[in-house]
Amino acid sequence: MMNLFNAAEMEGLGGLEDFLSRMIEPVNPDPKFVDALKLKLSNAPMVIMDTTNRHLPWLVAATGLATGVLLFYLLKKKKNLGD
Amino acid sequence: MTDDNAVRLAVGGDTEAFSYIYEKNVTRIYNYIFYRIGSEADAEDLTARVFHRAFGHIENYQEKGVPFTAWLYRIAHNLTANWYRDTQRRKEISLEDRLDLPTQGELPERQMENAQEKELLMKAIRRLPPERQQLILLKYLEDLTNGEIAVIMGRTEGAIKSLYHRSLISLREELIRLGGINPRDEKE
Repeated sequence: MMNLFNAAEMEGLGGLEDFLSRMIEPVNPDPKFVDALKLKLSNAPMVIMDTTNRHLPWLVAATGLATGVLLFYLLKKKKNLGD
Repeated sequence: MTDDNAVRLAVGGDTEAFSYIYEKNVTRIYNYIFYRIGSEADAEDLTARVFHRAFGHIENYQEKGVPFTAWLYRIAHNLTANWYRDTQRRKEISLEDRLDLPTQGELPERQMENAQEKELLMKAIRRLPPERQQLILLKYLEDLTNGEIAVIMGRTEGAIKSLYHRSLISLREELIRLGGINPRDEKE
């Protein structure tokens, strides 16, 4: 079995914390990638959603329902008159 | 331009403000993803997706006491989770090339040992549940406090403290499993 880490160092969680502090270091992304992405983002059109119409689906559904109920009522009334 | 001001302007559609935010955050988001998945190419791809998504949905960002960075980390966390789910792979690419940052004057043998330790540690971290990986990386890459991590992860500070303790224990177990620590030596 490999035994890369110092067992004594790892005995307590404090030792593991010290080890993590030493080992986890920030890396730098490739500057070409960073610049290319920046360029892409600055050329991309910004999509701004029109929030004024966010209740539209509910309005359409409610109108449809109301129309349906009205039609049902009128048809029923017509049928009753016919009888 | 201050960070808060940049966010306010970017939410209103200012692309220059978004560029400013991008420059301030691209390295931290890249690091977070890179340590989670271990591949430079995939980390670049996912980092790009994070910023494209942030750019496309920035009008949905509402401050509500949560810093903008937290919002970006959440996007990065979700996209990384999707990446694992979609690809069904856990590539364990050698980090030697990217993470080998030797101290000047170190002996080559010590450098190699460091690289091996680092590689094994990253393997162990990537074996942890995503939430624990996120916590450890935010703690050690960003040097954030439990309170700051709690805001990013949407948990209480107490919950983070407890999760952190459990994460360290799990990580230690993974290191033992991977052979990085010999449990027999440990008991001696």
